Amino acid sequence: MAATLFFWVCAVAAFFFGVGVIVARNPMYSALSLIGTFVATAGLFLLLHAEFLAWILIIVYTGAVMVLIIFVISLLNLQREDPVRLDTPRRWGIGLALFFGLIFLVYLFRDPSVGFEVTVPLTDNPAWGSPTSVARDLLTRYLIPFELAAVLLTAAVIGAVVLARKAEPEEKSGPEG
Amino acid sequence: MVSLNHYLLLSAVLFTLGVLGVMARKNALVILMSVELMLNAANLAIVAFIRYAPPLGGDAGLAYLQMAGNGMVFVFLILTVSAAEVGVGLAVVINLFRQRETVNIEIANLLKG
Repeated sequence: MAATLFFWVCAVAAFFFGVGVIVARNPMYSALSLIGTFVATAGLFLLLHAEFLAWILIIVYTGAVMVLIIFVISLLNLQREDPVRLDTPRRWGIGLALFFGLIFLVYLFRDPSVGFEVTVPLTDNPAWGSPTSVARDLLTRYLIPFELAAVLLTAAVIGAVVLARKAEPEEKSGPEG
Repeated sequence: MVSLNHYLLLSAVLFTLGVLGVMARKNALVILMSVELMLNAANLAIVAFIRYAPPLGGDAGLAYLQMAGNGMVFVFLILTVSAAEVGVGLAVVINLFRQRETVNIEIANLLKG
């Protein structure tokens, strides 16, 4: 039962790193915990035979997005900011109520008659989830959404640059500041 | 044996951890990371659903695969959107820091009624 063991290792790691994200006092530790969660999730994706997504998660998230976040944390130099405030019981109360409420909601669905006790995968085809099969879908059937994603990323890049650009001092030219 | 329920439960726990982070923290960067945690949990649930879709039986299952592809494209697009969200969100945080010298969301109350 190596697969079961692997699942539990990844699940427990993902959980504790997830807790680390929200309780760490230093945002840098939050970021590192988030990387841990992503790596654990990538492990679960591998277990689910979604190899392409697992590697994308590692490359795009821990390789690019988290580097961006860590870069911003270093740039803003936030050492003494925001200790976790346990003295805001209202916020923690609402959050914990949501936490246990949602967990309970999921627990209700353990009823086998609902049909989620599935252990048999949809397909045994080893090519399922490989980069080849995903790429075939992406570049034929879902070509338009793929291109739209490229447009979205371009728009996001432009938006980020415009937002983060240093505001120019007031000039006489143009209505735009 | 690991079933679909295990993945769904883990996904729900991670998602609610993200909700808890958004509710309880005041640091805009940590809130952004909590949102990422939620998106990640949603992705996990989707991949588990794709993998363990309710069994339709031999031919029906194959027909389903033919019709829908393997569904990974969906998660791929979510990853794209969340990457765009992080980029724009971090730009907003940097802007907030420039204006207020802090990323504490309690300070950013200009639009508060």
